[in-house]
Amino acid sequence: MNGLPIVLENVSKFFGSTRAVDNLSLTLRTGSVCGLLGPNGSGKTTTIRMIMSILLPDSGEVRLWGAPAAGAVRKHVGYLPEERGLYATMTVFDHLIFLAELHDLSRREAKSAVEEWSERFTTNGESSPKSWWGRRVQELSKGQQQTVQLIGALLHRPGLVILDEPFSGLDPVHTSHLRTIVRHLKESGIAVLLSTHRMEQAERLCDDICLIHHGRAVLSGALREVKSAAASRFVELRMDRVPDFLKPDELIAGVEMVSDGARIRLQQGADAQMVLARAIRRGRVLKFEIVEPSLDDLFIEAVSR
Amino acid sequence: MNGKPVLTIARREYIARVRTKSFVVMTVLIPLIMGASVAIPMFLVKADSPRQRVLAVADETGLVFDSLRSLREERLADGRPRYVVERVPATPRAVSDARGLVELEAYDAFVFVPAGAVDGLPVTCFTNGVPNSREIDHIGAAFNRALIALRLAREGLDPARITALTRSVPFDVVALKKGAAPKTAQAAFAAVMAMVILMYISLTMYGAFTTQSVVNDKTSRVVEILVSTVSPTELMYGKISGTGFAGLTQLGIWVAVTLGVSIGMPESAIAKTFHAVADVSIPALIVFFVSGFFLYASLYAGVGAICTTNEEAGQLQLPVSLLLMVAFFLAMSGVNDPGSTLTAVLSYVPFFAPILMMLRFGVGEASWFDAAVSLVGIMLTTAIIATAVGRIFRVGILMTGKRASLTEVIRWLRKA
Repeated sequence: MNGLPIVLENVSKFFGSTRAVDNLSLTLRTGSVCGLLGPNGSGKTTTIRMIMSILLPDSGEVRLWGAPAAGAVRKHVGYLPEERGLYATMTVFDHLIFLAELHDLSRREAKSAVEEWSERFTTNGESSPKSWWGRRVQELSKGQQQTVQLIGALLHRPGLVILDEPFSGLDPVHTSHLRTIVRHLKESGIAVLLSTHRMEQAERLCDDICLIHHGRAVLSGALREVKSAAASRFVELRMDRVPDFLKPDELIAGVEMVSDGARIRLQQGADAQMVLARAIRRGRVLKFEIVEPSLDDLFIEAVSR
Repeated sequence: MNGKPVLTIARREYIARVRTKSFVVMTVLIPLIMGASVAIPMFLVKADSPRQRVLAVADETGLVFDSLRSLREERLADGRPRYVVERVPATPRAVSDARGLVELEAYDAFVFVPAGAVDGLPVTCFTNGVPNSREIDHIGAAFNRALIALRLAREGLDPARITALTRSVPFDVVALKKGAAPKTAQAAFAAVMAMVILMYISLTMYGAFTTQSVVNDKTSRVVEILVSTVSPTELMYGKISGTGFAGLTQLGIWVAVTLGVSIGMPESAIAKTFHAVADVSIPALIVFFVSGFFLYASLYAGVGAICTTNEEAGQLQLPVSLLLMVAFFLAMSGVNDPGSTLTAVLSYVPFFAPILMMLRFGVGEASWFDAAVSLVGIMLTTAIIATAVGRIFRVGILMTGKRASLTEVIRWLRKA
């Protein structure tokens, strides 16, 4: 398949008079991981549901590999919805076969795919999904159910995988394992779109980000570029006193008190040296460092604007 | 629409339904209950086989007692007479004694025949407590026969000759229709009624299952995966046919059991009904049965599509159940006169057609052409409903918490 896996062009969606997604544009490149970021209720899930054609946009266009998203092209997408749902009384194996067949795999292909992906999801020191095959879904733990659902989203070798809040409810071991899986997907040329409000996870995984707030993209692009554009605007300051004189003004956009000092966000175009000068007047500066912003910083900055 | 996902969904639905405990329980239980409902009364009748009765008769006419020949000639299975008929003098004293003996259960009954009985005065029968009505009717008939014979004799007529002259003959009905083999109508009625009742029961039951299965997809949230992969119409067809075939499987098992019973007992009523059904043309019955099944299942699926909980769906099923009930009662009244214009017209209305056309065709009132026309109507309606339900389902999917209003449903239909 040619063309970009996902292209959203000026997509809007209203629920009554509430604007859930507002004129959103987004592209996802083959073999890249894009993070759809934003606080709860910002429109991430609505966006994803429009990509999956579960909801239809009120205006704008969604295309997958250049084709209208509502068509047969959906079969090449692997989807992990935010609201996880499996048939509770089915056995894991039957359920996985069902999901594979739903995506047009033959019984034989389905069996070998279930076999293969169960192997790949075996984490160290954990029971393999293979050992759950005979159990009913309702007998599994929440994390195990999520693993089953994720396997179900990958069985048909999708060219695009969409994961809505994949980290929710996962312990650190499973979180790390999921990151490994996502990296493997990326390496095998699969495009991944994941939504999350866990910035540290996005930071470790994403090539591109799209930060949305109130349904609108407030920050988007390659993670590295987004970060370097904001570089030299974040400063860590430690003094011999509590720097409580730092207040938002024409120089400082925001201050976050941390255990041994302050993390300062400068106004656009402000000079960090001016802050240093101001600090020196008020006491002894123990540490003054211009730091690379974390995604958390950018997130808070974008949301508070 | 694509066939494969429909098949995948239908198969899952089918297996899930057939594996439930309720399916197994119902499959075993219903024939047992049906069998019991036939066998228990038969057993009770047998257990209640007549025993010898002592009958006291006070006869003021002096003529009736000797004419009770028919009662005296009856024999029990072991050869003893069924009635011991004792004469009691028609004096006030004897009559009062006899009544006392009934109370003491020395007599099973005491009958007082007044002098004017031949001219129509009532005959009184005293029994201990409330008697077996059939037995009393039997005894009463014997007294009436005796009295009628006396009246005839008084007019100089021979009772035996009168009986012979007024004997009724069997009245056989054979329905003739151009292009159809003549059939005995009663047998066809019985067979078609059996089918109608069976259809009504299974539609009610499996309709509810269809609603449940659609609602469950929403409550379990599986639906998001399903509609992101297959079209809502495919999903609906899959769910309806999966549940439908589970219902047909159950019916198939029941029919097979009944067939087994009827082969084992070729003289039983079951076997006779079976032969009558076979006479009516089984393929036609099956076609109407299946098409009716899918038509109503699609309506029931629609109920599921606009509801978010099973409790809510239970309430909203009522209109569909009522529609089905109307079709059922129309069939019940139509069976008395399947040739009526009303029945004929209604048998083309899709929601009534499966039952009414089955009835008309079954009793030979409708031709193959009529059946085909009404069948096409049923299938078109089913397709329209399933598509509409698919759309409603699609829009209503992510709705949680509240039931859709009618205006909302109409808007969804237009939008989707």
